[in-house]
Amino acid sequence: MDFPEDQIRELQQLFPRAGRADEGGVTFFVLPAVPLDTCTPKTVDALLCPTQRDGYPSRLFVSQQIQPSRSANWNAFRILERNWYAVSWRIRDGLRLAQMALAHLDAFR
Amino acid sequence: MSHSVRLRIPRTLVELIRGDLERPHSVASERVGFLACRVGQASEGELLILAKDYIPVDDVDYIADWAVGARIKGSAIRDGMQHVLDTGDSLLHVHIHGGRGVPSLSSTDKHHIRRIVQSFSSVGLRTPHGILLLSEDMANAWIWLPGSNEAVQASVISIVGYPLQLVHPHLPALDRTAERFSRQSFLGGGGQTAIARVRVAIVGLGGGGSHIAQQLSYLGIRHFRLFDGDYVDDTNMNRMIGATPAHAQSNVRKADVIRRAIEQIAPGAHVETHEGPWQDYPELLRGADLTFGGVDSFSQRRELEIGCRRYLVPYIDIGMDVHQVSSEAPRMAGQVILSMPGGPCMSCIGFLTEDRLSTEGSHYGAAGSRPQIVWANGVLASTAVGLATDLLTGWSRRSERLVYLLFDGNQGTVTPHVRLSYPSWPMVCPHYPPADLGDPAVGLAG
Repeated sequence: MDFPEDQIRELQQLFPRAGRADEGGVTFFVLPAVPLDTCTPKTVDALLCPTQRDGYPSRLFVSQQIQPSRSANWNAFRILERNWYAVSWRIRDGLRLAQMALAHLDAFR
Repeated sequence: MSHSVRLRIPRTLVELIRGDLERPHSVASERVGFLACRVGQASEGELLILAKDYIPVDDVDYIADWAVGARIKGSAIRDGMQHVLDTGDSLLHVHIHGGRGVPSLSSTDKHHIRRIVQSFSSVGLRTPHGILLLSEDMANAWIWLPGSNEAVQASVISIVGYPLQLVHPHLPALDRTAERFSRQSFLGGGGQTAIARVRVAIVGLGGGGSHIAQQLSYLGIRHFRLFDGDYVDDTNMNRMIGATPAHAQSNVRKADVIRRAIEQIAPGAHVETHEGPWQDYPELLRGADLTFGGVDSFSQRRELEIGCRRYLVPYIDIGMDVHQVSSEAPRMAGQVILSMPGGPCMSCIGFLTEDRLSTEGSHYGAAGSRPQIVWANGVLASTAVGLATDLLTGWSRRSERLVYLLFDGNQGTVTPHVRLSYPSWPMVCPHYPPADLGDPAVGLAG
């Protein structure tokens, strides 16, 4: 799936090492070493799925469970040959990729 | 550092290769080509080479030299090098040796292949390259691992399709005329050898998986990888083959129960068990030749299928459920599905849908306590084992088989799903393209 170049550039400005990979017909943006200043752990790898999957219009997966979290419902997933975790956290529609990632990270403020 | 190699090639690709290489050429007595591959890491240093595409050598790139079977121009090698540089693929030089049986390298092959591999390695330092030989019925391959001057012979070459052909180039045919298998001699001697050598993974060792394990043991399977992190409890005692009340009372792991059951039926079988879910031991699953899944949820099925597709492992899924609407009799249904890499996947055939995954996700991924009963699990497991037997031995002489069987527990029938009569999916799965084979490669975001 294609995404607007300007949105990808914005995402890269926030996450300079952002990469992209597809699996099972779904595109994921890989965000390595995302800093979480007020959380434990202090950094995680994250995986942004910007399209509909499992009933979520978009979703952010992280490499470790994060505390604190505004949602306590953690589930485990295996994507791109790694184990990931995600909470039940929904954001509003119509956001750009960078906004999407930040809105999902709001779950851990 | 890897010290063994398994090569997996989709059957459709082998047919494409043969179709090209068997054409006559005006200035060469044989043709050659290149097999583009991705790489995966399995357990215990085992490397998986996963074929994704075939690159023929153009007619104009052959040089007339009747002293050898085929001689190609440097431009063909440079094209290969460019492919390696552009894609990061591994390349295997491939050609056919006439006759039957396991082919071996000719003196010409030995003389030229090192230089070809060195050329590819000069631009693809971190990827293995090598040579694949095909005969009329067998194959052999040698792989030069990164940084190594000596080749490793592939321990297994899997032709992935229906049937599933497993070639062990360095092993002799087994003597499977043992009395205990005399009643299944209709499978053929080669078939019993395939059964004895295949590596099978079973994910989920409850009602379905326990049946599968037992039947495979009787069949002659000798290499098992078992995945289930759960312990036996009272709720398993209506259906888990091999489990006893003592196991439930003693908090015994399901994997241990099944391992002991297998060892009692087949002493000497190689059985690996692991304490957690397969997601904690993915390299072990990758190394299996065939995987059975008896798991509880659609999301687990999806993850298993993804893991198998990525590493060219055929996956057989079974499951059942019982629904009751108001005062009607309960409706029991189940499925047996073969997800063959390259062919339609469980999403293509409409079994895995966004609706089902969404509904499941809305319950926070919990599958709940699905109804399960021993006889229904037995029907599904037996059907799956029968399917696997045909896949491994080809005894029914069926090929290119798309399998989506629907179990109607009320009628007592197992029939092809009606969707197979009206296929609305492409025969080549769009969800798992060849480019996604092997260990994931994360590209630039833009």
